[in-house]
Amino acid sequence: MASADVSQPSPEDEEARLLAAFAAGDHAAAAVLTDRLTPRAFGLALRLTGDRAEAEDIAQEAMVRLWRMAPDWEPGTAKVSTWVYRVVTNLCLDHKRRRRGRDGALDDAPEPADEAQSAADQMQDAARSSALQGALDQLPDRQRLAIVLRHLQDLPNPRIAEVMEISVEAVESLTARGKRTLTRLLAGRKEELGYEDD
Amino acid sequence: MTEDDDFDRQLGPWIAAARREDARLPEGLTARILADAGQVQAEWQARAYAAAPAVRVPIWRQLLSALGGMPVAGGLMAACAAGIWLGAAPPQGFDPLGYVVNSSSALTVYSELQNTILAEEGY
Repeated sequence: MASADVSQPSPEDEEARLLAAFAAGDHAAAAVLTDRLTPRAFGLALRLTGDRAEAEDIAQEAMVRLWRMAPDWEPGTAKVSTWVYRVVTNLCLDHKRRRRGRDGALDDAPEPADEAQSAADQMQDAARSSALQGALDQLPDRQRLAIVLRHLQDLPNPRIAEVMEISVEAVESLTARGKRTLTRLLAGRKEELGYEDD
Repeated sequence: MTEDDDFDRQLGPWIAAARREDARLPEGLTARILADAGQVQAEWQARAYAAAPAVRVPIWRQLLSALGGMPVAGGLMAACAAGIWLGAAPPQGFDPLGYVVNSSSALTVYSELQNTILAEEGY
């Protein structure tokens, strides 16, 4: 009797399998992929654009593009999530080009709050998140993308290198410079934003 | 301590706040993305249906189907053969054409024909 294969497929392999199932007509596969990929697409778009409404549109557009290319997906060529990150990045760059020349960033209404957080905590979160966004917006595009992927999306440097199509060394250089700038920009706001209370 | 750890320690509250905000998806976004997925699948199905080669049904098969299929066609052919046979070799004393012309109905023709056959056979 052949021994059972105990190796578990990686999340990336699982995503490719789900995409193939979707292309074959399995709608349940779309639900699983949506749960996995939408938060990442939305989170990246939000930090690159600083605009919740635009980030929502970009996340939806990226997922539609994923559905449409599903029949043409070639397993082993790339990771599905890496592909989504690239599409989101490109859509955000397009958004930035379109917005160039307009005044300031739009201030969006916050989403329904997490009931587990107190109102004071939510306000402090919003203030800190906004401060971080303000600092991120001052970084060059590539530094901002590398920082967001590394510290908000928790991607390891080799994956960031895949998404950005650069070397791991270049990723390390971008994140190092970005971190120095962010630390400097936010250093003076610790007390203002209640850092000392944490 | 790595550079990343140091960064997380210094900017931890900002990063954590941003992560919590990022995790709050806009209301209805997931439903809209799933609706898009369903629409894309429906488009594929419609295209596959339209691209399928049309099944060409021969005219004789369409006629056969309109008549009611093989059993009905078989009965019709038998009736036609009987009619031709009667027309070509009618029983003695029976003029089918005259009956068709002079009789008021097919029932009369049939009745006369039956009487003629019975008389020939001595009934």
